[in-house]
Amino acid sequence: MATFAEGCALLFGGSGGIGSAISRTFAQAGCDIAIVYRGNRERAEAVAVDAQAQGRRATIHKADVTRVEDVQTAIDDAIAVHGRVHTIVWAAGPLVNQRYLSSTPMDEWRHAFDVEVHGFLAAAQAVIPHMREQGGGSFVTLGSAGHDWWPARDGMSVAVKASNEQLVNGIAKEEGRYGIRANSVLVGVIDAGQLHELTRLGQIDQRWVDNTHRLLCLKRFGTAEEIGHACVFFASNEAAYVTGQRISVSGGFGV
Amino acid sequence: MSRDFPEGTVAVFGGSGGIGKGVALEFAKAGTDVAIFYHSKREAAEAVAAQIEGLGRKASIHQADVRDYDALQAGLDAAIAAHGRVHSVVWGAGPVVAQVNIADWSLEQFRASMEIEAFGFYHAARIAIPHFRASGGGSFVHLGSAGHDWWPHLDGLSVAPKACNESLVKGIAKEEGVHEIRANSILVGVIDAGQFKVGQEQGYFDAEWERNVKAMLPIKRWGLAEDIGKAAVFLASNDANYITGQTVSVAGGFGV
Repeated sequence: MATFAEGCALLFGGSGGIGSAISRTFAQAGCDIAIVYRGNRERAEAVAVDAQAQGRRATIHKADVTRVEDVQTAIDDAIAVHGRVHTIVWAAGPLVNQRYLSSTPMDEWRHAFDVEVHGFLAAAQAVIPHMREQGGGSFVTLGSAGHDWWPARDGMSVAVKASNEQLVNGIAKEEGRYGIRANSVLVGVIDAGQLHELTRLGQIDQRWVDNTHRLLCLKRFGTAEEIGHACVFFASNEAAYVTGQRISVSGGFGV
Repeated sequence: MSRDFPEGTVAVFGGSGGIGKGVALEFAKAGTDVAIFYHSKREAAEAVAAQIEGLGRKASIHQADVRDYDALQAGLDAAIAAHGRVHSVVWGAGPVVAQVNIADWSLEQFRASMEIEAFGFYHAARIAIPHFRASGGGSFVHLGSAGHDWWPHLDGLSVAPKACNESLVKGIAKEEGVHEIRANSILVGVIDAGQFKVGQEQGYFDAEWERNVKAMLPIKRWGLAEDIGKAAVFLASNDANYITGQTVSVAGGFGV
């Protein structure tokens, strides 16, 4: 088993297509989990129940991450039940419509920042005092493999997440002295969640699939579990000397 | 933590070194056999092999000067014969690096560094790739330098050849990915083992140097060989099957 500090990993977006697989991977690796969901209570509960069946303590917490009070409450409740939050996994984010920058509606653009960036800063500010007091902790954010190579029409994902990449660097640099680490998993094309939804909506088709394979070193899409494994590595004691880093789990997108 | 690997063994080049020993042991603890490649420190290689066998894994040792292509080929063939397959190559071979300004390098110093670290890695890759292709895949884990992110004064003889290898790692990832061959690099920070200890004895890394470097590090300690080993194990394992062409700095945040 991987080793973790006492307490739980708190996963924002832990009920999402990729987020739920990450939550499961943490549980399988021996880590207690607290899953934060916005609307998908059923999936959050299903993941929690499976984790409990494996002997993990697992809780679910409803929150709208654009509301600072919700974020604070989720963190406080997780600490109350689990005793300590050693890891924040930041996997929260709305479905990202595929748009050119030149025709991106301002309200969608602002909403993406509200959820993904302001939500993350709120979570970080809320939990850092606790982590300092506990002698450490870490953040694992989900970024985009497009960080390394601009993916056409995915600006609302990549440009928004770029802010969080810098927040990861800043938290790593400013909080390292307190034993707090921060790293990012850059997510490639994963056969789950948003890929399925965007295909259903017709924003992604077979031509897009073929063109994308050509851009990859490894000629296939990834699994949500592969994202989970990288998150677990960063969160575990195995990565105790790793901070301010990003690993692209994307089959070599942008290499 | 035990992990899943493909069948066969990891080949650790520089497996008798201060960091290489730690890396070899972490692979054994994680549940795979280890083939240790060494240049001159035979006793150290034998000692690591004995420790690995004590953990219940199979170990073999192979002597080679990495500048000698034929010797490397013979060594890898022997490792394959002993273990059935080499699934991963960890590149940690390299001499103790003299701390010298670029402007003061002798021509021979730079040539030697490039021949051992860059040409050596290229040799190992050229030899391993056909085996990996024939085996359905494999991966390279290169041990680079955290100085890749932030130039470390006087350490050019380490950083420059490794920079060549960083490019080769990306190229191997891109060109061989279609054969399920992956390649990644660990940027190694200040590790309390091997070359660092030698440098401390020689007075390069004195108390003032330590104070200045620690002031820059987000995580206020030196690394351990096992920190490098655990990252290498992750990158070589099946859990990292969708990760290629990446660099991960295991350096306490050096250069962030």
